[in-house]
Amino acid sequence: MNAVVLLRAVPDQEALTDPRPLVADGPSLTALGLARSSQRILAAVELRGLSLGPAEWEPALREALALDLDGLVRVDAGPEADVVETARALAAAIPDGTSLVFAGSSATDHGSGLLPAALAQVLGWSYVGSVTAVELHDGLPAVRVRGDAGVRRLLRLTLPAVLEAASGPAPSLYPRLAKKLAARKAVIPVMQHSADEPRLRIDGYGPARPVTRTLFRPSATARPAERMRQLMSGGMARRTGQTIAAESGVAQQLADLLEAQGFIGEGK
Amino acid sequence: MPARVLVIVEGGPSGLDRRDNAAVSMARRFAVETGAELDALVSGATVALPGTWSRAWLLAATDARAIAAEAAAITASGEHMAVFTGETPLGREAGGRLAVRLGCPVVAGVQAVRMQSAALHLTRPAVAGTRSATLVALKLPAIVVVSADIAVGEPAPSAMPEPSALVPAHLFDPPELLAETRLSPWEMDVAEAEVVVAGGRGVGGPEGFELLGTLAQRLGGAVGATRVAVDLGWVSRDRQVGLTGRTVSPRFYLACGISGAIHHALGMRSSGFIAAINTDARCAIFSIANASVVGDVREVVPALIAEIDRRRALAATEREPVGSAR
Repeated sequence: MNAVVLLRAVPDQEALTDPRPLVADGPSLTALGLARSSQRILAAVELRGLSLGPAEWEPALREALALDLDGLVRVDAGPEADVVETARALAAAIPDGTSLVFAGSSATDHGSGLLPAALAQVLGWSYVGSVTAVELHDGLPAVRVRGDAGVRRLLRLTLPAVLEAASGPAPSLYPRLAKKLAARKAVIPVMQHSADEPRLRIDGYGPARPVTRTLFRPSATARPAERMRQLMSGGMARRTGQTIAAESGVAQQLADLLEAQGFIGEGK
Repeated sequence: MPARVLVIVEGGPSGLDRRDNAAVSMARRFAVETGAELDALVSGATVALPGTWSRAWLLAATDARAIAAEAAAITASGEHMAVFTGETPLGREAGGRLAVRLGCPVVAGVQAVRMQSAALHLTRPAVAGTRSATLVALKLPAIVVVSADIAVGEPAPSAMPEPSALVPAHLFDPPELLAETRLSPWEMDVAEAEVVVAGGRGVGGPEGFELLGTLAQRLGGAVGATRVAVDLGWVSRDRQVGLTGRTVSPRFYLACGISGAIHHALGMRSSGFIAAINTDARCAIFSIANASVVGDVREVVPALIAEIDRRRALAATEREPVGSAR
């Protein structure tokens, strides 16, 4: 069984030089760490890297190649590739005999995080997100998945599949010197992908939109002016938050707040 | 110009997930602005939706492949200009798969959507959230994965729209679930939890934190603590929230016996809703709290636990079908 890990490069935020050198991004390294641990468990024969990006990414990709990858392919699809086009280009570049694709969670720039699912759809494979580990269960492959609110699941892994590594701190991966030297000289094959007509066009950039807060519900018994003040403050200015005196049924009022936000429902 | 929008949500007895609710809210506003008709594709089980809906489909599965297949069939008529999903794991997967099926644009983390000059404009965060980018969809329908953080001002949900069709979706085998566990409030990562019940010196000691653990258990959340409580040895260091601990932004942060020193506030002030309990009416935490309770944690928290238990028991009684004892 062979596996592929998807890689992308970003400017090194810790570098002091200008321009900043490119490095493999955190989610990619997390996926690589998961892939390497899975390789041992599943006895995968080969683990290859695959990346869709410009030629400027190659130094960063070589650093990743040095981390015990058996090969690496870069796909050039032009700057306008969207999620669908990227998924199609990557799917076309996945070598025959591959059963697993490891991807990082959402990209660090805008956090789209849709590519792994789109790639699974193009390939016709199953998809599992938020994977923290791959292991054997009764001799068959299974994945540990991180769910919402502290839920942890163990799922049977149906191959072939695209696995998205759960977000988290990138593992500390260090290449051996011999691998690093070999990676610097390695020839990285480049595949060209001609994109369809663009589906999206960037119209422009603006300031970040303000983070919205939970709208504070005004008291039904308050005077109109007070209700308006509560509505206008809306949790944005917390200095105007209500004060509940302990004598006035505080538990009920707190429970009302929690219930309004869905925390006192069934199954919690 | 197509004149329909489709919303994909996951149903269930506990109602709409807040992320699906955000998708419903944005879709409803967009439909009002453009005069479009609203369609709903509900997966899994029925769920009450707010407002008026033109058509609804109930899909007997919560598999993203089945949802994408059904949504593709619904939008095949070419009447839909946008398909909205929430930022749930299912919504994201279904959105990505549907975009490939239709060959349509897909954008995640959408904070605003509008029609301008007969083109669909979508705004999402860019450059690690420091900027916003506006994109124009050059092909319709656009798949809109709505940001969970948009303001939602919805009327109370009334009932599930009458389904136009019941779709028996057994097209795909879901992955076999081998085991499922829920972490206890003491195991759950404070940075991951949707609810954090945090304590400071005012909790009084390890037994006070046991009480907070009980409350966090009831709310499906994690226990957090200030540096003082950690230094006193009342809780382990992995619970610490603040400048020298973890930075958290849960939906609900309950600060118990915490004064609100700046090095703690820096680690939790981006929480969605902050409630604070303290005996000192002039403590700093009240200046950043949405709701402030002047009282003793050791009195308020047990009363809150009892109130939650009472409401759950009442709700369970109301759900009990007549004659079920037989």
